Amino acid sequence: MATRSLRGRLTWTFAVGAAVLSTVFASLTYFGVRHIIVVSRQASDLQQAYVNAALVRSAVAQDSASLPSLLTSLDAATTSSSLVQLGSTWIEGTSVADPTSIPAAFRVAGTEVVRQVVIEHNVPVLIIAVPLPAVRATYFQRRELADLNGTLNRLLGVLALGTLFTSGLGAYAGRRTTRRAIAPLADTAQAARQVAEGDLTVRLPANAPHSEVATLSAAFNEMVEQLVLRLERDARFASDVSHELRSPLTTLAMSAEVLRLHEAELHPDAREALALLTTDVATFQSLVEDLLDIAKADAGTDTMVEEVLPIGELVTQCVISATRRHQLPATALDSQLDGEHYVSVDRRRFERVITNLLENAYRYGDDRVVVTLALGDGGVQLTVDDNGPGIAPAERERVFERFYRGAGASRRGDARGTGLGLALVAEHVSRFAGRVEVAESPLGGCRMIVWLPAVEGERE
Amino acid sequence: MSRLRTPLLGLLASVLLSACTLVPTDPSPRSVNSADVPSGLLNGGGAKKSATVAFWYFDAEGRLVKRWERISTPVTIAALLTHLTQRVPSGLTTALPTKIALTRAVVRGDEVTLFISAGFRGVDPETEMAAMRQMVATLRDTFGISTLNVNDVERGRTLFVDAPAP
Amino acid sequence: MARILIIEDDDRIRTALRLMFEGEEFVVDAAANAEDGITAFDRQTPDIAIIDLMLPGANGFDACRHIRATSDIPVIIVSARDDTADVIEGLEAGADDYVKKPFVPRELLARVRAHLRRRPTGRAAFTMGDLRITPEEGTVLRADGTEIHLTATEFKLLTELAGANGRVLSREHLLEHVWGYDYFGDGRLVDVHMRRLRAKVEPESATPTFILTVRGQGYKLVL
Repeated sequence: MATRSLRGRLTWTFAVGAAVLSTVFASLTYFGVRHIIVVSRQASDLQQAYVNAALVRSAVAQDSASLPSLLTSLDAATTSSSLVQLGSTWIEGTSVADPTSIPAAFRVAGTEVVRQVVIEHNVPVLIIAVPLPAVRATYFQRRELADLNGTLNRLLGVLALGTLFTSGLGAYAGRRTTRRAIAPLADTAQAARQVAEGDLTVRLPANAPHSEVATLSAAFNEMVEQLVLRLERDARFASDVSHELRSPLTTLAMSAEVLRLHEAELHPDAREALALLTTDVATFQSLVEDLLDIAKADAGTDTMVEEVLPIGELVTQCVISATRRHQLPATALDSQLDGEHYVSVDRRRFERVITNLLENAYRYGDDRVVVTLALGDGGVQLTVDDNGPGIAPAERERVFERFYRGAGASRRGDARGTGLGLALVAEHVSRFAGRVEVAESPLGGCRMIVWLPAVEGERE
Repeated sequence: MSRLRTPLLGLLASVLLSACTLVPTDPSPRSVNSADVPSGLLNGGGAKKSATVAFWYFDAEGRLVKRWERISTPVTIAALLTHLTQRVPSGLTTALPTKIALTRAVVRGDEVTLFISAGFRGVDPETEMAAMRQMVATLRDTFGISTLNVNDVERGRTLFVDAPAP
Repeated sequence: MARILIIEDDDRIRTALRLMFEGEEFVVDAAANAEDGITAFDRQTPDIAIIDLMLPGANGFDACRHIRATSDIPVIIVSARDDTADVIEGLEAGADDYVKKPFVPRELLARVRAHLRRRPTGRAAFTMGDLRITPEEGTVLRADGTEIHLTATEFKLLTELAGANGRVLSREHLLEHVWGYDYFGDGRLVDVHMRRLRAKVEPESATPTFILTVRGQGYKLVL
């Protein structure tokens, strides 16, 4: 079952509540009014029957011959039909009445006035029997209550309309009321979404007008505070750990360097071991640097020095620097830009992005790496292609995760990745308001696409 | 959802049901308290014990003649027919069969219908017609009718005759 | 043979540094704290100093200031802190350059060599207001004959600007030619040194008339 909105439920409840209440009241009204109408009608019909019966009695006592015309005139005056039973003789006023229309139970003349409402051809009929012992006769009066039915039908219609209207009003009131009641929930959801997106400065207003909402707000704020504390603790931990690693790592690197200075005096086996040591110390060092960068970015304690720089020169310098520092093969840079285009980046971080992308490309690629610069989508697009095995579509989202190692393991025995390279690329590029994605390269391997927004140049 | 819908539907159904029988009916006749009936209406006394009624017979020449007689009340058509068959004054005759049996008589305006269950079997049409004339004249004077219908249940036919001018 | 002063509190790093520089044929004076370092400096007059900022007792900034008070030698500070304010404070205390831990040994060696190499080269003497600058002798003299002391870095910066003949020099250019950095030096090195240089050679350093900043591009010297 699909989840239904709380607001919908509340509105529904309001509407149903209004419907039930108004139906109850409508029913009470209807039955009450019906009772009054029916009782008063029966009372007046009874009175009429008594008057008619008295007339009939005196007529029978005086002269039976006047009875039929008396009944006819009575019927004409009262819109009822009268019937007089004298033993087996039935005297009728109008043709409507018929002895057979009198229920059998009535024909046994008693000593009491009786009445009954029956349905004849879907029309309710009130039959009253008045015994006239003085003339040993019985007076019957039949009266159709179709007009009563009409009145009650109209009443029912009006009440049903009223019920509908009230239900609608209830639904409307429910919607109006719940909009206000639900608003804090919507605010909380919005705030939670913002927190999920990484904005940890979001707080709900503490001075909520209702205590329930205030409790919710307080709990939410408390949760975010705890989250912030925890994130800070985690970030500080990573930062502290890498910090503590620096001194021993520095010693290690320099000792290896000292050994390297005296490489000529070493035994060939020791020389080989030294090569291994030197490479891994270098990897270790970049790992600690990457970790620190990430930890600082997580903790928000890093300082960006954003500069507006010409992208062409920046990338050229970065590629030269990266290949020189990390002993990578000379890399082709294909710039399809015409004129100067500027981006706003932190120079050191941008170099790190290029370095990591190139290292990644050479680590998994087959020694053919092409860097391309082009315009696109209102910004500058930097593409790094390699001719390695590429990355399966299913893995493309995940390569930017920290310490994610894909199925295609390192091809080179001597250069290990830190597992943070691409994560750092994603981190830095997002700090430059850019984005990075993986695609398939026409060279057959993997294509990394970095997009950065173009900005106005500052040269005067 | 169904938790709320059920009572709502029930209410709607009950409203619709009550609409079918707008005016409540009674399963059996209900008595009205005699104290509520105007005094005197249900009393037995005060009425005349007998009434003088004009009966018509045939004389020796076959003409209808009127004779005033006193009979006990109430004056019913059954009582009139009984009187016409059994209390024939001397010198006069009646055409009504002695065994005539009336099951019901209905007076409707100026017309009366008699439901005769026995008595007319084997009676010749002439006598039958005479009986009709005798009855219509008597009923005209007593009940003010002008037409007599006789529903001969036994033979499944209806005769009718208009009353002559008085 | 160059003489290097290393002030580093971490025994292991100090030993590693000493071994590395000795391997590169330096004469090394190593001290474990600022006081010992200052004593060694006064006694030996090294050609270059490497100072760890996080020293016990009198800290690295004090040692930096002491050296700068009496000498023009290049001073490289080593910082393990991420705090960039630390780096700025070290530069303000008179340091010429900085490296961050963990540093790549070869890069530290390259920095040290670059600083030792950059002696003022053959440029013609020039005047700037009432100052006479003689690159060959490394002197800056006022009209009344008193000398203004510039550090090696400041002097190199001034002559580099003078050699441009009024053209604007970008920070990257200055980093490359004065400090020996490639494209990825820290532009703040230039800014801090430029401020110190102005304080020494400009009549009113708050409103410079010779060394001008060109926004977004760099610096130029107007004679």
